[in-house]
Amino acid sequence: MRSFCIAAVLLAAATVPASAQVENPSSREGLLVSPAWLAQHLHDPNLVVLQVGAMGNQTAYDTGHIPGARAADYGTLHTLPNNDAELAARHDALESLGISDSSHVVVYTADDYWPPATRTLLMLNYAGLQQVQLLDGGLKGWTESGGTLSKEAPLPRKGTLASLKTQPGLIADADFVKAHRGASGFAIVDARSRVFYDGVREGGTKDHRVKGHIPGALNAPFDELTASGSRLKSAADIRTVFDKAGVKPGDTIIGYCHVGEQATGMLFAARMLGHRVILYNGSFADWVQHDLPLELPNESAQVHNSSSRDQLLVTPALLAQHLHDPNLLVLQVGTQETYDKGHIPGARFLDWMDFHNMDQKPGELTLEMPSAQALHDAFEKAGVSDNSAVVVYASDEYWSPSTRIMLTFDYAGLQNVRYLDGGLKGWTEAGNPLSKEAPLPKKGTLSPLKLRPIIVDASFVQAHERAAGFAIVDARNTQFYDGTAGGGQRGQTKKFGHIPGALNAPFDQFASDDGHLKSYDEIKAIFDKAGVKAGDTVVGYCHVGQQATAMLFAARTLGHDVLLYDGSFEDWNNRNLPLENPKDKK
Amino acid sequence: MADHPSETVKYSDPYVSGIALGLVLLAAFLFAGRGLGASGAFAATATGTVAVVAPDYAAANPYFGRYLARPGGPWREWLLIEIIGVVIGGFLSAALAGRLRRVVERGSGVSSTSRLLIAFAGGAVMGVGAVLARGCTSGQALTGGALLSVGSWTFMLAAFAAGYAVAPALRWAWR
Amino acid sequence: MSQFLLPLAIGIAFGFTLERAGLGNARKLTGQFFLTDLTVFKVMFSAIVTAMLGVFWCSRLGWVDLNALALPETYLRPQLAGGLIFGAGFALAGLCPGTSCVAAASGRGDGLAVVGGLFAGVLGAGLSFPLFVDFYDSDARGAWTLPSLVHLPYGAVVLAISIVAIVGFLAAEAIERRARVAVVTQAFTSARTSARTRSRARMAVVALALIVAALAAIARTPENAATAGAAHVRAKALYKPPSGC
Repeated sequence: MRSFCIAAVLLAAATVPASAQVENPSSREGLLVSPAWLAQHLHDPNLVVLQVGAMGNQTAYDTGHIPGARAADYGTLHTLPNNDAELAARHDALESLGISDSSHVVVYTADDYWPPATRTLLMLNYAGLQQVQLLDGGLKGWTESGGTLSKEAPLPRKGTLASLKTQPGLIADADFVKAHRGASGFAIVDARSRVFYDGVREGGTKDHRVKGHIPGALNAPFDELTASGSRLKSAADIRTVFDKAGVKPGDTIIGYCHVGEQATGMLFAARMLGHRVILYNGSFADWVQHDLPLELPNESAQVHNSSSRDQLLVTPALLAQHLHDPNLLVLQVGTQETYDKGHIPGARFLDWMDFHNMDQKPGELTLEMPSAQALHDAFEKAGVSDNSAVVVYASDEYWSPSTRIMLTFDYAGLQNVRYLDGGLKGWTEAGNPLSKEAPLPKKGTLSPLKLRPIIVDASFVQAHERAAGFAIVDARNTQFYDGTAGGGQRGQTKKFGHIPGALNAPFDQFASDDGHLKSYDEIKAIFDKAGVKAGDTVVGYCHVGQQATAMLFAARTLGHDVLLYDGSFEDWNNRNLPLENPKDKK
Repeated sequence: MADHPSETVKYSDPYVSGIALGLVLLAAFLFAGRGLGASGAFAATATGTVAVVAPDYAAANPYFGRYLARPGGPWREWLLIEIIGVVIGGFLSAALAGRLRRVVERGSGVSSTSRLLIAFAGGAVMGVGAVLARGCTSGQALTGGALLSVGSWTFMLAAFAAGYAVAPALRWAWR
Repeated sequence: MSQFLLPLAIGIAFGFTLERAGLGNARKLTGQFFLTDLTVFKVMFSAIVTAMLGVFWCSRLGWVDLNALALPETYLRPQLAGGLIFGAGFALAGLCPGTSCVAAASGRGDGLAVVGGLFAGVLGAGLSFPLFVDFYDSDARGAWTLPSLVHLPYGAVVLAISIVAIVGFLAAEAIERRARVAVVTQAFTSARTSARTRSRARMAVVALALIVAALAAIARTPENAATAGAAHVRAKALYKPPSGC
């Protein structure tokens, strides 16, 4: 009937925008499949889909899995079969998962920690199975592409596998690594986070904790290879990570990490670029157990260290991709007026005043951190819940209120918080639309806060004035630091100079004119010039404790631990503590 | 075809009245900074009514609470005043054209009661749809359509799709 | 006073025009869905194209600030669902909210029934709102417009829609002819015009609309068109701490 044809055509047209961003189904370099591809091939007779995970996989599987997928016991699958008996057991385990010689296996994880999937994939490759692929983005990528979940496990099915032909060329031991240090055409790559490679945090085994990395190794942290969750970055972006690490195209990569799991993620990405890969299965734990020599960063040619920065910042493009994540909470820091004029769609207005102790009597300090209970209630009012993924952004170039909020989140022990680089201006410059409508008010549900001890007082500062490993940094403009202008609240205290031993890194230097945070290298140069050493814990202060947070945020992106002397110059002078005034020396 | 014996002016050419309607809409944009609407008036009325009966509940209800919070309150809602104008304008036009008539428009095989019930039901369903979509044919299709809002065009296409899908089941009502 | 007179005047013009077009009559409206009388389509799309062209050109001439216009924002799934529900109700009622008021104003009992139903429906939806508030607020896309969806300049989209509308009008005429309903209407101003003059007048309007739309497409798009998604938020002074820096 004509009416139905018209109805159908109109309905199809109406649903066009909803499908405006569907990925083309693809199989990248034969190793990666997209959710769209999997959706299309889900009922292929040879397809075997495995959900793996390090812990709690069965529970996650029972809660909801890709329809037709099987729960694979990671404990059984992730170890390297060392002898014939273990190999035979592996063979039977694979058959019981329904895997046959003609099977096409797709592996995924239920949560964002994806290395178990790549480890499983590599072990299957080692066992001689070639047709194994990773689902890009895991379960989250599946549901985000509109895929539905199932709670029903498929009936058990036994596959038919010929005896396994192992691929020993994929695995290496410590001797192999030693023998290939500096060998041309090979690159030893540490896949751990930068803090381990740089020796900021210790690695190794439970009984033997050491700092540093395998001598001659480069660093390509596995978590820099995914764009969000467990979705892999584009080939170009992955190439950039390896280039920055110092890996040359064509190198065979010998990868390691703590115990051999995260390295498989890095090696997977390397394979997508066409590198030949070898896994040092024992990894750093094995290296340390053999008491082999180590190397620390200033001994190697390490160029860049941005994993802290990557964890703290988010770009407008990435935010736009995730704008409709169920747990996302976007908060605008600014005035109600600017919020009403236009904000990121779905963003909530964060009332700055709720996060400061405003019950001040004259003579009391300005802008102090409120009590844990007041903070907890303020966060809940803003919509923050335990599982919220928060993005904070500034509505204009005056960005220190928003870094103060970032520090407040950190103080409250809420870690899943990122800062939108470029703020509202960066958002609109990237071509994204704004909204004038506020979402309906919704209180968050937050467990009691576990405060982190990052707020310090004057006695702490005094005790650490020239302590090793600490840098007291004055974030005020240079004129206040060097005694030209008087500092303190409303200039009332009119005291000149800075806290003895403090260095100077004015906060407004850390953002460029277009409102974006400066690059890692630029920020490092500023701190180097100020006299801050790598690994120092930065203790920041300013007039009343707000501008310092901008400087401290920049320090965090470099990987420094930070502390805020909240009372700042105002408090120091209230206590009549001595100052250092460069002008006096003239 | 004249619908009514008393009719003195026939219906206007649809394109001409469409252009006229477009100019009214444009005038609204230019002088009021906003477009037309209708379902919003019903929302305001519903809000005002609930607020009279149960003011605390109304304020706490997220939907009604929003209308209550608007400057002037629900009874001074722009769309409510506009819809009063619509009633006046509709009356004037019908009166001048000799089309004022107390009658229930329906198919010949359908009783007035049936038609009234179906009309009421249709209105209720539209009310729900309009709440979800934040508007109706005036606020979304006309206004949002002219301003090229994706959501408005989606609404318009979906509404007509549903209309075409449902209408064949109602042929008996208009025979 | 103007806060009262302006919406009233606009509403009067709105209601008057709707009634003149015959849209206060449910029988005429449902003709749209039975493909016998496509007045609804013709009126709506003529209105949309007129207003769309008007807004486009007024913004070019600086007579209206696109950023200051209240653009209905996109909440994609709720609006898709709401549209489907609304359309079903529309087919049942034979009148939409605006036209139901017009129908009621001219004495139509069914118009009054639709008005009553609308009130009940909106009230019911409001009372049960907490049940679907998450869906209601979901899929927020902000001020998303067609040019941004299809990645074309504002003017090009205006032209495209004008062309689609005119093609639609031609199709509508053809459909109505096939339904063999002699839709006898007269132009608003004159008492008797011949069919030929009427069709010449229509073609002239079509040609004019096309020319205007074509000019729209080839004229440069201004930087700050609301539809380009590059709206800049001008912030007034943000709260600054009293440190006097």
